[in-house]
Amino acid sequence: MSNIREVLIFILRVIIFLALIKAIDSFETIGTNITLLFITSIFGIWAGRKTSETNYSIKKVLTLNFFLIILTYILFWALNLLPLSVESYSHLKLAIFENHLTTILATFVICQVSSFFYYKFAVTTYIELLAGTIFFLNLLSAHRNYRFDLLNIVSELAWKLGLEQLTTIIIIAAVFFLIVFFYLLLSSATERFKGKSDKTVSSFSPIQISLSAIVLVGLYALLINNLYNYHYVEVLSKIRNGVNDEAKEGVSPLNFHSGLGGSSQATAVVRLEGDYTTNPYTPLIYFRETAVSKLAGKQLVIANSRFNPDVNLTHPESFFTQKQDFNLDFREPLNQSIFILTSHKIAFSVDYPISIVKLKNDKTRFKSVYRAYSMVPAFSPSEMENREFGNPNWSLDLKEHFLAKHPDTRYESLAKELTKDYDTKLEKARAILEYLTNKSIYTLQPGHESKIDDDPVAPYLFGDLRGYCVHFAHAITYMFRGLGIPSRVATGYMSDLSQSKDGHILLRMNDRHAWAEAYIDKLGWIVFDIQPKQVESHAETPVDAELLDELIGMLDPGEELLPQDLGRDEPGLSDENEFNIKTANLLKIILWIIVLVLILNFILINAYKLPLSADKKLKLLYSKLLVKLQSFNILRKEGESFANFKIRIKFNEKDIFKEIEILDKLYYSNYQLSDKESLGLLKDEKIEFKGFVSNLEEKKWLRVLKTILFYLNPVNGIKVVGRKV
Amino acid sequence: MLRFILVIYALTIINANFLLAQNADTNKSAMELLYEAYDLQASGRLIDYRTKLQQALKKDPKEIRVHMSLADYYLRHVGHFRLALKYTKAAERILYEEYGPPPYYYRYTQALHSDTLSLLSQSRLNLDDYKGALKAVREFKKLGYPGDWVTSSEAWILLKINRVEEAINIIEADLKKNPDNFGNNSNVLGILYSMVGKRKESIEVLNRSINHEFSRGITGNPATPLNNIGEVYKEIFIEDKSEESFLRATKLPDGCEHVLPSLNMALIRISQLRFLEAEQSLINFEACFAQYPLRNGEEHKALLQLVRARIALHNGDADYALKELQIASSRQQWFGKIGTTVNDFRAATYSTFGRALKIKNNHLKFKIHNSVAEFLKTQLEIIENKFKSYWFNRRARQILSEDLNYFEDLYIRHTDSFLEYPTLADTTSGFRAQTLRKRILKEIAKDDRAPARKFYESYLAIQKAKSLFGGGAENIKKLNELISSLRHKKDALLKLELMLALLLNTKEGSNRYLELSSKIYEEHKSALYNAGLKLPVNTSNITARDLKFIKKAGFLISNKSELNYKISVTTTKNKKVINFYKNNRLLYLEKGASIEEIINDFRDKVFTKIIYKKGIN
Repeated sequence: MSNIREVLIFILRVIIFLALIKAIDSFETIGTNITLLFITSIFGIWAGRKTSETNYSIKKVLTLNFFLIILTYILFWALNLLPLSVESYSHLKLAIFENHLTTILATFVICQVSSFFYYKFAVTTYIELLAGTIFFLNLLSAHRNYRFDLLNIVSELAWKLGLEQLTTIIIIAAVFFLIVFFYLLLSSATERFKGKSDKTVSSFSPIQISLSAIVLVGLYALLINNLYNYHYVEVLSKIRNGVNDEAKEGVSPLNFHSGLGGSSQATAVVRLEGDYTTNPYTPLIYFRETAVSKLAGKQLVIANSRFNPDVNLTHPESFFTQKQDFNLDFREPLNQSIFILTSHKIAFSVDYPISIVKLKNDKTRFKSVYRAYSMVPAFSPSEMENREFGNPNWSLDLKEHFLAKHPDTRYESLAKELTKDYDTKLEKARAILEYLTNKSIYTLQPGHESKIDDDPVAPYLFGDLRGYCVHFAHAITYMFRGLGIPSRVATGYMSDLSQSKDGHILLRMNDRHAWAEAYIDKLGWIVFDIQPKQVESHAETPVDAELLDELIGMLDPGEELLPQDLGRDEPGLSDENEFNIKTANLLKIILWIIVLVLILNFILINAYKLPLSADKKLKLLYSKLLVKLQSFNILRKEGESFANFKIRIKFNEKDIFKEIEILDKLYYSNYQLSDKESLGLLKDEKIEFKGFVSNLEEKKWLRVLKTILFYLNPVNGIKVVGRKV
Repeated sequence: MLRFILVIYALTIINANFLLAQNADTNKSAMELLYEAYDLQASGRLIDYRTKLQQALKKDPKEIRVHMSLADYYLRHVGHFRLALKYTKAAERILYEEYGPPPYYYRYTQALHSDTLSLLSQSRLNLDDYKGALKAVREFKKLGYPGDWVTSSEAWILLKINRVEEAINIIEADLKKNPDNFGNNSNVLGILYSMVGKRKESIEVLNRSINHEFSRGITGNPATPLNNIGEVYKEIFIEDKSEESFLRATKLPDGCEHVLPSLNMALIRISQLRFLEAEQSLINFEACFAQYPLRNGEEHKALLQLVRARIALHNGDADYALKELQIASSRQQWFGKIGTTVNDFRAATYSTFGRALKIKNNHLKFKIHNSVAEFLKTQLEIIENKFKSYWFNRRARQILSEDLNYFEDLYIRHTDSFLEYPTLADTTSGFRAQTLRKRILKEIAKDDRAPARKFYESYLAIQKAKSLFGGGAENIKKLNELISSLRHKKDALLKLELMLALLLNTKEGSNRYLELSSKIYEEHKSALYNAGLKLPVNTSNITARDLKFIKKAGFLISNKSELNYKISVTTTKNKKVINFYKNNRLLYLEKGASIEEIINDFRDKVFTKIIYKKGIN
């Protein structure tokens, strides 16, 4: 390989192929020794490059590879005909060997053929990148309906880095963009298309490269800015499944437009501190955050706190307490420790909290930790029978508040129509739930068109019946109120206890939920929720059992009380917290990456100091000086020869680029540059250039700043080694 | 100050009982809390028990019995083995710090140390650290602590690391020395005997073990030997007794704690095409397991999903099967307490995955497309599925031959294996003919079970049938022979596979094809559809255009003779109605605006049986 740029391309290509193999192996075990595949791929890329330098046609290369595969097949077929020993499983051993060999051969053929095309045709770079990207997107996310936020790899990485899932996706995308950028940059600026006319040799000028970089980085920044700004509100406010955590009176925390955004990212862990065997909703458990009950126009909004005294609307870091409601029977105390992993505005707990107390949080992993002491429902479903809806002790305005009917009379009419065959209110309520369960179609993107003042529930209930929890809860509430059942919409989390372990419940973005509640005398606010039978869009993600186990271990008091070195010499404990990178460490990682880039850049800029041949050293130095002059805005004019350029920027009547003449000699004669001569030239060059720069009509601080920026810009390093002198 | 006032205010109004309880606990010693915790455990309030133990631990982090109780709690009730190991290690360290290293001469310290070693061996075993578990058990033995469980535990660990003969010797030696220790040893000995082919001895020992466990009353664990004897009966093809044993095991309290009896029962039922009953056994297990509120069943969910995927697949619901397999393969699974290894599970999952993708492609073959884009999408999906199916089958074969001792799971109904033996030909057909033949010959030579021989021969015959020339007349003859020699109900699934292989080599539309395919459909309505083969039907009142769609949807139109099945298309109230009859009795119908709108749903009705409802989980 003739120049450093070529070496860089080769290395980058090898890295990409190794990364591909590693990624495939970690996603789906290949089964063949990965180091062997690594070596094969390097050999394949090298062979591809070498083949491209020959006069072999595409047909010839493909035929050769085809014959290689066929020959291997025939060879093993023939080997199988040999009278091998049955006793020692010889045939099976041969099959095992064949299996590995074919995998290695396939790797070689892919690397070799693709590299041949890469070095032969410029367009291959783009086709390869496109094909690779499509392959990976498909491999990784096809089973999750292309929802990158639902990928295990993303949530695992987010967890290990202690970052938001969205931030993790953005970082992955940034790294991907950077690699692609450098790859394209290097690929397009090389002399790799041998045997072709000069037109196919693309050699960008520094200005072109810089402009491309600026445009690409600008585009990326714009994309990320838009993406992040769009989702950042959601990240902060936890809009997931259409459920926000807004606590302001007069507004609704719910979003009817789209339920997208729910991911498998863990948001909190709830540790039940006592047995809750009387849970009437088993196997489900509901954690309430807010309740919307005030009908403002055509929508429900958060009411004044006197209407919903059982809803705390307290920040997780704040203190909350209230009196126990002695009018309610069938309630029992339950303590819950709640460990918040992502920012939350409102503390949540099992209905209804008596106190919320902040706990000591000495783990950087958790945003906040609090203990909720609730009086939780403890009744069997039969207790609901023969009870009145509503509370006889309620004042008139409370009654009116929870019975306020929706102005659209269709809700009441439909409710009455559906329940005409039933006598009691409980039967009627159940009939409505049954209707919605059977008829609704669960989708996170109902795509209903509605204006700001419109009722967003009507297109669901009286339209295509497509919606998500927010629509279901509102429709139930409006219809209940139409039947005189006091009701409201509650928001928070819903989880499946069958996925919990040892009373630890892992809550995720996916578990954000809205549900309807109706008040039953002596029982309090009771959940009336549905799970539609028809599902349009749903990507099921089971709770990450390993993460839950890790969290249980982390929350266990023993974590603090037990000695930390128990895992020594104990295989079962040794790999714990292997990847536990804390958020604080991320800054260090970024810093290290910057430092590494700087070091690499510095090496590339000063590549002429490397043990190279004298002429190469000279070329590299010349290239460095040219690039450095660009930072002082001294550029070679269009059409200007190197010789004229040298004359134009003469300093103190001396040539600052003496090596131009030497280079000319090197190119056009049999002149041999001795090391001594080269060393002398380099020395002179440096001194004179230094003098030239220091005499530029600029302030010293500006010159220093420009020199610093010169070293900071990673493109400069590539420009220096990539320049065609 | 404000904060102080708020706290005081809160303290005065918060539930008095709660505060009293909290205050009362703060004034108690660690030992008092520990005894209270034991009471809570006895009354089944396990989370309260855990909370109380944790309070005791905070009170006195050096109290060894609290550590051991917590270790036991995480080991037995929760299945969090790392925490169990951590507490055990902490207990061991405190013991060493307070009393020095072993040996100990006082009963109390000996008891503490022996309990620690017992917990250590169990935790390590569950974390697949067999070497560590063996070390703990041997130390226990070396120090001469009393414990009748120790020999069987040692033998079990040896079994896990394939030192079967050594394990048998240890148990037999112990039984000679302590004949009274039969209860603990017999179950493991039964398994070991069956592993070395001493099936008669195995059944005898396990029967005695069952009786022994029953005789222990409430403290006995008869479900384990019942499951093991069921497995032995299954191995020797006495399915009735096998199923009976599994059923008995599932009805016992300890039988619902572990998944194996239910799972084994489901597998037997699947091989007999009793899919609804198979699913019922899984449902019953889950319902029963729900009584353990602290465990989320993560240790068996993957296995259940694998079996559910198979049930769905056999009934033509490939989408559900693929979804279940996808989740099953990403779940964690512990194997310390069962004979199965992670490689057994992987091989089984890959094998089923490969089959599921093949079946999905066969379904797509009969899909009617309403647009070019849809058609292209399907073609891409077919290519992707083909590649994935090849890959998964290749992986299955690789694990079976490389990681599982040169395909030791080929031994039909291998007790540790989760392979589906009647359909295993799908995976084995990928080997070169010579390789498979030689491997099977070796297995036949050492396997004395006559019914197993039919499975081996079936694999070879099916491989030939799927080859380019179908193996010729000789193979057809062999297939016919095998079909007629198999047991009617007990080998129903294998028989079906053989009939499908035969049909594959029968000319479409020939009398033999008409007869055989109808018979297959009669046996199981999804079989033809899964294999990508057409069902012959008579037609009446169908326009040429409609006929075109019906032909594409997996039906072979044949009106030259009267067949069992018939399709007709009628129009009522501007709607097309497509009807499917069996012997002139209407079985299924589908209504819609046009034939292309309803044909896919109609085909699904005719060929699939939806066992699992699609809903949000």
